[in-house]
Amino acid sequence: MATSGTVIKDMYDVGLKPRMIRTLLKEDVPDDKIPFDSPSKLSRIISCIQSHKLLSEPSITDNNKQIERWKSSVDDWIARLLSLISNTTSTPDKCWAGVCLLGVTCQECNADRFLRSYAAWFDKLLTHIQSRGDSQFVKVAACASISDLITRLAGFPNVKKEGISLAGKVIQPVLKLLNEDSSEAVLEGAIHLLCSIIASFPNTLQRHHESVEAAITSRIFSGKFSVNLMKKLAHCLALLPKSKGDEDSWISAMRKVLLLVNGYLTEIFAGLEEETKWDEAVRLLVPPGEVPPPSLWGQKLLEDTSDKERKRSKLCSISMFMLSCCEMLTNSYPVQVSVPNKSFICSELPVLHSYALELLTSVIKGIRSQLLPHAAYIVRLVKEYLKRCELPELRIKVYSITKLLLMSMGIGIAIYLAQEVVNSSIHDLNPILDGASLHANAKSEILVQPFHRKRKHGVAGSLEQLHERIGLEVETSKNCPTAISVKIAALGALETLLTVGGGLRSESWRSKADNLLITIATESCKEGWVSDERKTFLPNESTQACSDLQLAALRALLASLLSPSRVRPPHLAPALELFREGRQEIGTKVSEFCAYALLALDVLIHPRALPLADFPSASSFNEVNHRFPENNIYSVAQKHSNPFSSGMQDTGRGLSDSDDDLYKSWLDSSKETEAPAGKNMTEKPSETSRVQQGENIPLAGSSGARSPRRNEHEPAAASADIEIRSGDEIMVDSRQLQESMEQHQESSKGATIPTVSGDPNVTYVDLTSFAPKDGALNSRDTEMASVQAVVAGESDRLATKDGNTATSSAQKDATFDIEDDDQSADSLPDIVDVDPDSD
Amino acid sequence: MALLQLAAAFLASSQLQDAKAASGAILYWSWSRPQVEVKCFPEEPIKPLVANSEGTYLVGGGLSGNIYFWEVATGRLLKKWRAHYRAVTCLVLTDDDSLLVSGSEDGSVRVWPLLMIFDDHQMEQASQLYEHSFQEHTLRVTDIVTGYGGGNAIIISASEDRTCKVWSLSKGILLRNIVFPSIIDSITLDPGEHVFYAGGRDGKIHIGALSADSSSIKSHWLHIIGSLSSHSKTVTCLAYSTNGNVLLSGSEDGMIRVWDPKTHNMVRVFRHAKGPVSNIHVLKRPAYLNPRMLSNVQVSSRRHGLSLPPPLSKYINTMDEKVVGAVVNLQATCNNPLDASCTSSQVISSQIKELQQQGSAAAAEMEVEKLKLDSTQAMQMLQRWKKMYDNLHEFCVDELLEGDHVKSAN
Repeated sequence: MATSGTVIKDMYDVGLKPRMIRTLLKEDVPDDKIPFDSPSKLSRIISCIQSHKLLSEPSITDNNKQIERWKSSVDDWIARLLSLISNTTSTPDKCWAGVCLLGVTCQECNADRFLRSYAAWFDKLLTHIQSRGDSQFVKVAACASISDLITRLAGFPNVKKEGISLAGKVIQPVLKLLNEDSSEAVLEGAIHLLCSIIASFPNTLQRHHESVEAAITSRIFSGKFSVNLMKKLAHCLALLPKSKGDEDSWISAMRKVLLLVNGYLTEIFAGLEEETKWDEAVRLLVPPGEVPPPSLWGQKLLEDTSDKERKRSKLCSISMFMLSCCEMLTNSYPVQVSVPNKSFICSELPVLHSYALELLTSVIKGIRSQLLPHAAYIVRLVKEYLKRCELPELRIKVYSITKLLLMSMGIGIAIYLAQEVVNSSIHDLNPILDGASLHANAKSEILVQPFHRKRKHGVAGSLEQLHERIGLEVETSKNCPTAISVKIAALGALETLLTVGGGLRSESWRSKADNLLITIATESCKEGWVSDERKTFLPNESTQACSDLQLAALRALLASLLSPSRVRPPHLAPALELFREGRQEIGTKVSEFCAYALLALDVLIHPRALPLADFPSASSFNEVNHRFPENNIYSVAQKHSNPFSSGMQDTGRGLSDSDDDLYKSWLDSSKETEAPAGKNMTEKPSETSRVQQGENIPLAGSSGARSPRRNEHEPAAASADIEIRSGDEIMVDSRQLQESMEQHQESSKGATIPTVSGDPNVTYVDLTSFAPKDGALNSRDTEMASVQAVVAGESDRLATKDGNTATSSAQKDATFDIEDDDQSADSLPDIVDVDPDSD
Repeated sequence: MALLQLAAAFLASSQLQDAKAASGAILYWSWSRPQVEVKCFPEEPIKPLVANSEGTYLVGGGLSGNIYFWEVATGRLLKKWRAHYRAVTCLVLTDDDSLLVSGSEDGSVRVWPLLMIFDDHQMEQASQLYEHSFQEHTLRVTDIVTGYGGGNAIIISASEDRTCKVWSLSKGILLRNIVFPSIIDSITLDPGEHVFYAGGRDGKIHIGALSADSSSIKSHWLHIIGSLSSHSKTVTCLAYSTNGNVLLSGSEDGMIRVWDPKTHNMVRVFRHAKGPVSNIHVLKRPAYLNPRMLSNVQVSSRRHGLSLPPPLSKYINTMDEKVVGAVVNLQATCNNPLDASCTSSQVISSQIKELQQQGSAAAAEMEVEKLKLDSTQAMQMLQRWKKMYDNLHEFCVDELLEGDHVKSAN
């Protein structure tokens, strides 16, 4: 084909394209003489055309010879295709190839050419749909090609009329295909064509609405097709109301479907539930003043059959109709519509759970925030489900609904669901209850035995014990991919829960969940990362599931680390280790995720409180030459105990800020003072993660007495404080002081030292909470010890409620040391209350 | 007075209250007309209003301390509950729309999980509906804002006791108490929650530190790291526009000032001469509004009034509750659904596969067709060959016979 005589520059040269087309025409595209020996040839042609954009010649009309050449070669191409399609003597496979290639041409050719010749192409294709004699392959291909043509046509707004008329021509033949006893492939093609007509030119279907609906429903009722096709039918049924595009048709379609579902269900569960349910549902569905239709689409709503076959087919069609409802709810629809009644949908369906749950899912997706009035009901339903349901697929669905609810309704629902989700995911992830005993195979049976013994022995089981159990369990359940996918779902739900509602009212379940997650993650990763080599050797499914489980476990673990809590995440070290290990597995999803996790955790390790770049330091309140240390906003003062926060009062401070303080103390101690930092570090090395919360210490910059006998120093410290304080003009609310002192006395946790002294006019209240000294994680009572120092006016009481450990007193000491120091004299005030009288 | 935009739609809902009168109204304004479109008369005067981000619900706080919960599309009053002892002064929803925070004249700030409000079952068991009740303010609460982070968010409340208090939503505790030189009427958060801005009755906008480092600031007032000032009268409302990163403040003198929060300079002034500015909302400019319209301040606008929802009902109507379902506004966002995608190449590849496996009936059928055609062609060929053979045979015979004739003739 070197007729051009020019040298081709590279593969993008325009001159190359006509040559390629001609080569294709000469060698690959069949015609009367060229045989069509292998269908794979066709795919080669298509990929060649698509990747090189051979048919999209530019539409500019200059005298460029190359472009002319390109155009003429495309002309040839199309002429060849048309001859292939219309030539009656050619073999069906050649005809099929022609139809297929024409479909591709519809997508690929440039707009001008398309608009010029779509009508002709359409007619050619339509004959193949209409003609009886054609092979099914040709029919399917013709449907697909026409659908592509119509879709493309819909993109041109100026040919809308033509498009509608074309689409109108197709409908009758398509209906014929639907009603005929054609094969599944043809039906599928027809349905697809119908769907694209609805999507592109919805108005065309308006006149045929009834007949199309009838055709589709009769197909669904016949119930003898594959699930895939049934789903497509349901989808098309759900799209149908679009053809009218108004609220009423949507509602009537929905109502019809629901009535039908309800009728069938009533019939199937006849005798199993109260008779009134039917009436109740009908009352909900049928607008007042109308009579429910006795039959829909030729099917009686209430009918007594004992025919088992019939019942089975009905069950099948119910699930399809439910699917159709789902689609209707989630698909886009141009008008606002009223859903007949949704809480009904959720409740009526005791069996067919799977589809019912799916329906519930789409109800949630569809109505989003409007779920609120019914949310509590659904939550109860989900809770119940989590408790009772056993089948893995259903559990997975319930977990996904849980996720959905959590994401859509936020923290509010997290409060409700948390406990149940944690319990049931512990149930699902826990070795004893789950895998080994339930999904037992021969191998696991043997392994189960020690578990049971262990369970009798151990109470809750130490961490190692749990490790061990889960380790064994992971092995046993590896053979059972469904068990693993339930776990993955449970981990996902847990992850979402931690993401959404980690902070609020989470005390009761948080540590449980954290423990569980670190254990699961460690175990799932213990026996090595699923590498590519292993994937090739082992059966595909189980390894895939295994790596998915690893990923899910790591994701949930990250959520548990990042989700806000009261203490520094207890399992940070092992988790970091895991992520570091995981990152080594370059090229896997796990390694990608681990890298991300390490990035996210970096903030936890190196907390940053970055200044706003050019935040002005000057302010109008500079009169006093005081330096206020900025601890952070979470320095806590509690005065009143309200019913809700009582459980939280003893907990000093949040997690994130304590990290800030750690960082700060880290910096400060190295710069200014060595002593307090040293104290922090050395006192209880095993619990440095908790000690850091004594945030004020490093700021003290104190070189004062650091004797462990705090009581000796306290009066001095207090009085020193007063001296400085008395200069301030801060007003005092002594009543509040009183309250706070009372509260201290009530507090039985930790050491409380209300220190009171000095000037009655000036009170300065500083409540600084300190972190726990004891490492007991599980006991909330001993978890936190709050140390509060109060300096106040009237009484010179010096009380130590229950002098705690030496460490805490040392910290208190540090707090008071601050007062000795001039520069840091102001370092404490966190809470300053103005006398309300002044208002 | 409260003003809010419902559901990013052309719907602005405002609320009026004749001073201390027994009645108040909630008014709907459409973008298209300067008049009130819909008037609703709730049971009692409503001051604060808040809507969820989708605009499906409207929550109002009454003078008596009740909170009313309406569904916008139907106008139904879904719930009404006793929230405070005295008038509700401000209402705010957390960013996930699941918790409602209310402030009252009695100084209390309460957090309500909306889910709980609608859960009759739980309601019977629980002793109180609220999640937290913060009582530390001694006087009327003037404004509340919530930060980001769902359950871990912070709540900042301002009160007439001249303090702003920062609360932790998750822990239910007071995190920080900041005393201001004057009463704060309005607060707004820096989007990064670095600082918050508090508009005072002294005409200044004070900057309160949250995560900002205020230790280096030599300020007389703890945790106050600066102020923006130039107002002569009370700052009544504040808004932060993330688009352009500016702070807007409205004042009693009818001026709306735009500030650059970094440099603390005033960038611009809008004058609304008729009276004090009570509310500022920063809206995204709807597509149908022409660019000349002032998009920042929702003063008035024209065009595109669609049908407004029915007025809010006065009482909970238990009768129709069962009949009426929810209104679903199905999103029309996904514009190119799956069914409109081009598939012929997919169909082709699946058909090719089918052909290669030669398993299916359809493939077999096509094969048969092809073979049939082949066979007819072969038959034709055969015929032709036969004919040719016959001809040849005839010719040969003729030749032979002729040869014989010649021989015999010889």
